[in-house]
Formats: sequence, C-alpha cells, structure tokens
Amino acid sequence: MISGAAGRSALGIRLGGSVWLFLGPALLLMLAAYLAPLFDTTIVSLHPNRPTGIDRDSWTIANYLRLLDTYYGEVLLRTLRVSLLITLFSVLLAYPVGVWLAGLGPRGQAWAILVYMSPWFVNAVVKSFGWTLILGNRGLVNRGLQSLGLIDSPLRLMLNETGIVIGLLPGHFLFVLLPLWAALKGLDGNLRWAAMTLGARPWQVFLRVTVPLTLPALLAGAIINFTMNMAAFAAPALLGGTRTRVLSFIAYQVNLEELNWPFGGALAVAMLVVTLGFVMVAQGLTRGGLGGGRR
Amino acid sequence: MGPIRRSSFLRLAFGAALAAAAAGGAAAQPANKTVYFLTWGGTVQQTLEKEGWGKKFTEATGYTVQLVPKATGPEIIAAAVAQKDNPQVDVVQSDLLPFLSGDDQGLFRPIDVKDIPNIAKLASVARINPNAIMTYGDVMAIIYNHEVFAQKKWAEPKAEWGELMRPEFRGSLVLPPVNTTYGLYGLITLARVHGGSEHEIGPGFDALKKLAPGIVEWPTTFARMGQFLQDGSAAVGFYSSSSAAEMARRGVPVKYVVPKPLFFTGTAAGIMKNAPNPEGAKAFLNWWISKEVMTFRAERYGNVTMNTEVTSNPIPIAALNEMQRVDYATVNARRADWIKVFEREVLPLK
Amino acid sequence: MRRLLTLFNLLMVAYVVAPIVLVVWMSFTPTMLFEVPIRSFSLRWYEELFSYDAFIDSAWLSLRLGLISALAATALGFLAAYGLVRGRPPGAGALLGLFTAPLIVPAVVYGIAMLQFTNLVGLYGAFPALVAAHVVIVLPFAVRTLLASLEGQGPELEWAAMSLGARRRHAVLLVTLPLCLRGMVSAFLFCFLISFSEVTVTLFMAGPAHQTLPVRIFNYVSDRIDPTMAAVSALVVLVSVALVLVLNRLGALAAVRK
Repeated sequence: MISGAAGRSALGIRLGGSVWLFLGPALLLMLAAYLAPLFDTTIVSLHPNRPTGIDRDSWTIANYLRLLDTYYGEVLLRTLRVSLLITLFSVLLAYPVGVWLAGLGPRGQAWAILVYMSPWFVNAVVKSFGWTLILGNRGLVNRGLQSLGLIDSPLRLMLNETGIVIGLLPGHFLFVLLPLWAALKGLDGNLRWAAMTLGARPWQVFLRVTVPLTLPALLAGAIINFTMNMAAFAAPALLGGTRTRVLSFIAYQVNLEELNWPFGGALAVAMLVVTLGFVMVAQGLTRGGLGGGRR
Repeated sequence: MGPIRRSSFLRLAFGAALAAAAAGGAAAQPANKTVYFLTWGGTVQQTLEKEGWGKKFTEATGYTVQLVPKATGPEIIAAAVAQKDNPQVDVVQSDLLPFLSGDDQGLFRPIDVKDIPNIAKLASVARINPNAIMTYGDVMAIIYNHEVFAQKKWAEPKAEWGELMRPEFRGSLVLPPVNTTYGLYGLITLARVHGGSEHEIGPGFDALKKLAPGIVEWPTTFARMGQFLQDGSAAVGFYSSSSAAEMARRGVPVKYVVPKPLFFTGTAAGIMKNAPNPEGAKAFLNWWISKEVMTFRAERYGNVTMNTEVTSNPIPIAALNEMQRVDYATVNARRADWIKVFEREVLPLK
Repeated sequence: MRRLLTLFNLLMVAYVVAPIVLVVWMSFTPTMLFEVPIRSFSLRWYEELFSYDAFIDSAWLSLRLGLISALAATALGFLAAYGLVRGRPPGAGALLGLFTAPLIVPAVVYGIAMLQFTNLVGLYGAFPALVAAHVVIVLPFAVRTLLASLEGQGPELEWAAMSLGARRRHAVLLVTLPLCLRGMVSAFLFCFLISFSEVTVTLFMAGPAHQTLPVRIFNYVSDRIDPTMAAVSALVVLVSVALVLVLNRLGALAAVRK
C-alpha cells in the first residue's frame, strides 16, 4: 500500500525532515498511550504480587510458571479452538456472501452491507441476551424443534463452546467479509470472461481465478477476525457459561475481581504472544506458501 | 532507574501527550456536591434512581448521590482497591466478607457517632469494627420455580438445606459458584449440614461434587440465576431471600423457603480513606442508615435492617444472635484456595 | 446458481439479525418478563428509560467522548497518513504497523495495560486518559481511511500549487485537505461509531465517574435484567444505522478494510 504511493510521491516535492512534524503527534500518542502501557504491563508481570500490592522491588517468573498449570492450559486450548473454529466458519461463509454482494447493484450492496454490519450496533451483552432467547433450553430453536416433533429433549446449544461460536460468528464475520467484498469488486471482470471463453466452467473460474486473486484479502480479514475471537469476553461469558471460560474472561477475573495484576499481566502477555504468533504464521502463509499473495 | 523515577518520567510523557485531549475534553467535575457510592446495582439502583430516594437525599442534604454499580461483592471491593491511592468514590457497600478483606488492605477510614449520629441507633452487632458498619442483611433461601414443580409433580421443598440433594433435582439446579460470596456461603453451609464447618471444609466440597453433574449452570450473579429460573431451563437454586422475593414480585413464577439453620448474610458499609468528598460521604452514610431509608428497605425488599428504630424488619434483630456466625478471618484466609479447588475439581464435573 | 446464492444469503441475514430483532421486539413488551412473542405492544420501557438519568448521562458522555476522540483521531490520522504517503519516511511499513496495531492486539490486553498504567501514573479514571485510549483504538480506522483517500489523489495538484509559490502548509490546507474532505468525514464517522460502541477497554480502565453507555449497559445487565436495556439498545441501533447510512453514502466502507 505504502510502497506504491511513495513511488508516486517521489514525483512531488519531497517532505524531507519535516515529515516528522506530520508523523510526530500520532507517534507520540502511540508511544505514551500504547507502547508505554503495554511495556509497563510486561514489567508488572515480572514482579510478585503481595497482599499489599505489587512488589516492584523484586523480580520473578512465577506468574508465567503459573500459566503452565493444566487449568490455564485447558482454558488456552479452548480459547484457541473456539477462535479458530469461528475464523474457519467465517472464511467458508465469506465467499457465498461476498460473491452475492458483489453481484448486486450499488444500492443493494449498501443495504446488504448495512445488514451484515448490524451486529456492531448492539452491545455484546444485549446481543448475547437475544441469543439466550433463541438458544436456551426453552429458546425459540428448541421450542420450534420440539413442537415439530424432531427432538424429545432440548438440544444443548449454549453454555458450551457451540454457544460461543454461534454467538460470536455473525459480528466477527464482517471483518472477513469487508476486505473480501472489496477484493471481489476490484476483480477484473475481463479475466473471468477470458477464462469462460476459453471453455472453463463457472466453478472452475471461481476456483482457478477468483479464489487465488482474492485469497490475500481473505487472509487479511481472517487475521483480524481471529484476533477479535481471542479478545471477546462478554459474549463468551454469557453464552459459554461458567464451565466454558475463555482466556480473556479469566484475564478479566484476575485483573478486576482478584486484583492480581502481575498474574493478570502475565495472562495479557501470554495472550498477546499467542495471538501475534498465529498472525505471523498466517502472514507467512500469505507471502510464502501461496505465491500469489503479493498484490 | 528506580520505580519512582520511572513513574514520574512516564507521568511526564503521558501528560504531555494528553495535553491536547485534555484541553478540549476535561470534564468539569461538579465541585464536591456529588457523593460517589460504590455498591451493587440491582435493588440499590432501583431504590436510589427509580424509587426516588436519590432525590430525597438531595432534598435532605444538598448533596447528590451518584451510584457506581458493580455486579458482585468481590468486584465492588476490587474496584475500590484499584483506586486505593487515588480514590474516586466516597462510600462503599458490599457483602461483609469481601468488605472485611478490603478493610484488611487499609481501604477504609474510621467512622464514629460524632460524624454519623445514626450509628447510635444501630444494633450492637452492626458495629463490626472502627471502620465498618453493617447496614442490613439477608437470610439465604432455597428458590424454586413452582410452575416447573407443579408440572413435574415434585413436592415443595422443606425448609432444610438437605433438600438440595434430592435426586429428582439433578439437571434442574442453578447454584452460585464458589468465587462469589453466595457460592462461598453455600459451600460453608453444605459443609456444616454434612458435619463440617469453615474449619473443615471437606464435607462441603464432597456435597458440591455430588451436586455438580446435575447443575445446569453456575451463574455468577442473581440476574443470571433469575434468567435460568424464569425460562424454566432450571428449577431450583439458592440465594438471598430478598432477591427471591423481588423476583417473585416481578412476576417470575418462583417461591422460596428459608432453610434452618438460618444463614445470615451481612452487608457492610464504610467510607474510603482519602475520599474525595468526606463530608458528603458522612452525610450520605448517615442518611442511608436512617430510620426512613431502612424502613423502606425492610418493607420494600425484605432486608433485615440494623437500625433498631425500624419496626418492620422481617426477622427481629434479636434472632441474629441465634443465627450461624461465620469465622470471617478463616474464610478470607482460605478463600483463594477454595476457589482453586472449586475450579479444578468441581467445575469440570458435568 | 444465483438463486441458490440469494437463498443462502437470506438465511445468513436471518442468522445475523435474529438476536437484534428479538431484542428490539422485546423492548416493546409491557411486562417485566422477557417473552417473545410479546403479548401486547407498549412503550413503557422507553418512558422508563427517559426518566432514568443515569442512562441519559452516559449517552451524553459517550457522545462527547466519541466526538472528541473521533476529531482527534481524524486530525492525527490525516497528519500521519500525509506524512506516510508524501514523506516516504524510513520504516514507513513499521510505522503503519504501529498505527494499526490496535487492530491486531486483543482489546483485553490493551484494557489491562491501560488499567495498570493509568494507576501507575496517577491518571486512573481521568477523562483525558480515557480520551487517549479511545483515540488509540480508533486511530487505525482513521489512518487507513485517509491513506486510501490520499493515495487516491496524486501529489500533482499540491505540487502545482507549490510551484506557483504556495508554501506547503497552504498547499496542504487549501488544496489537499478539501480534496480529502470525503475521506475525512468518513474517517470521523467511522471513528465515532467505533468509540461510541467500545466496551472492553473502557470497562477495564474507566473510573467510576465515566461510565459510557456501553459500560453502563454492561453493568446494568450483569446485575439486573429488565427490558430497559432492550429499549436502550433499540435506540442505539437506530442512531448507528443512521450514521452508517451516511458512511455508506460516502463510500467509506470499502476503503477501510483493504
């Protein structure tokens, strides 16, 4: 994105040293209100917690060793499992929706996007409440299926991982859909025409032309989607229930209920490392393994 | 670089970056006319904000009260601890147990009759220590959805804790988890019923483990528990009698019984050390425990209030002496370990 | 084939909007209970809402916070995007990475960091700290939107103005800025929308005096559940839809997530 633009700007009058006047304010803000807090939390996670508060004079890795406990291991695995599942479903659902969207007129597209954006207008807690009315033991789905005689006892659709996936998917789906939609719109129609006139069937065109050309956008969206899945905590707390806790909720409890900031900091750092690790692997895939990743 | 120097350096850097934002947006704080009251939402919110008592407080004293609601006792105290060095709230009220642990951390300042005359009217049990008073309390109750009971032809529960173990309740129970105050009280109660106590908690955990597979969900708040009882995905739980009564009043098909031995759950209040508005805090606490407000709480919410002038208490204060007393020091010391055991050995059972 | 896709999308749309429709529907119930279908239509919970100062105060706070942070983020975002596009500074990629990092770093992590950090520097619960956090959270959206906007128009016009003797700041103010107006408005609205609905970071770091609307709803619902929260959500849906319609007219949606 940048490199192309910068190439053009070389034609113009160079900014020179005064470029930092433009970048300075944002940079200063990010240093003071973003990097400094994250750095501080990392430092805090290396101090022991005492009944009187954080002991800033001694250092320890005990907070990280505590993460190796099987309880937290299970929570981490569950969080990853749920997050990856949601990303997988989002990616699978994105093409049918994106292709359909791109085929609509401008007005239709605007309205459809508005609808797909709508989960973002409602507080996560309230939305989860709506889901409870649908997914609960006496919810709409179970009542419907029971009155149709399809099931005897209610299906367990919430208070487990299923509930978290169902509840988070619609909102986080948008972050895969938007970049894919943009990429599909930008796709050169002539390419598909060319492939068709050469005798390719529509599904062959889709698999051989459309997918490879839009894959980078899809992956970029999938990364943000995955991050959001890892971070969500209000909806998982309500739809997953007390037995199905995810990492971010544990972090909430440790920081705001137990008030153990050093351990809470260690949880935050662990989450950051795991998330960024996955993001880097995904980006590596885009650049390396898939060849056509560069735009 | 020592922690102090680093801190002041960061403060400078941070402050500089914020200057622009501050210039435009610094909220004009009303000059010490507001009293911040950190406690639950729920019935307190209803009392102050919907039933007009907040306005009455303003009429009586000239101060306004701003409620800072949290969902659970531990969250209330955690919020107070978070601002220990730079307090933003004045009066704090929570369950007795977390309140005492907050007091151990030096959160609260001494309060006495000189500043708060109404303290003289409180029962002697309400004077917990120089920093804390009990405002009111509740008794624990078994709550059940009577429509589900009628439908399944279950006998109404007797006033005994052992009723929770009835085999037909498997798959219909909602109990608060041990990391909440009521869950903790439940654990102690179950231990006692089965021959243990807070000093010998084993029997309590054995009972919870027996119950665990039949539990639909461990809701952390009463609002959540109410949701499960209301839509019929659960039928039996335990919580405070006043919460149960409030729920029934809202039209949820629930009834409750208060099992013997009675388990009294106290609510404590105090004033933050270095509260931003100490005078307002005293005025508020004095008003809050006054005969008028406490009579309303007793009549409207069924609280057992500690003001001896209140005549409409659902249970006479004298009965408190017969109620189970809890060794709060032991409970607070063991709490973290019990939560660990609960999370690892009880919660995964289904 | 197209028909199959349309059917699939109808199902998908139903899935996406189902909980929202239920909540809005439920907000019109006359009873305290949550039931769908509702038995009769009533505006009781809306009246209740408007007589309830705490929600109104929170709505104003969210509005103010959203406006200030959107304004600040748009200004900072424009400067940064301009610097990146026209200045080609060393490490431009890393800088863009930094400005957009809040998209990748889980919000909970930043919330925890801000909670701890504002306590460390004695700014816990201060409004400026909250503004700073919100600007950080929405900055990626501003930078991306304005990058797209600046890239869309080459530097030629600006260059022309400067070769005719205009100073750079005049060229930027009088030529570039007006050309980017659409992008600026989009960025501003997008930032406002994100800030207005932000809950995670705010929940962790906001002091008692600053309960934004989403935080107020979160606290309210975790303690008691009545249809007031359905009514407030329905109103927020209305406002957000209006904003997004404006965004859509400006063609902003496509630009942001590339």
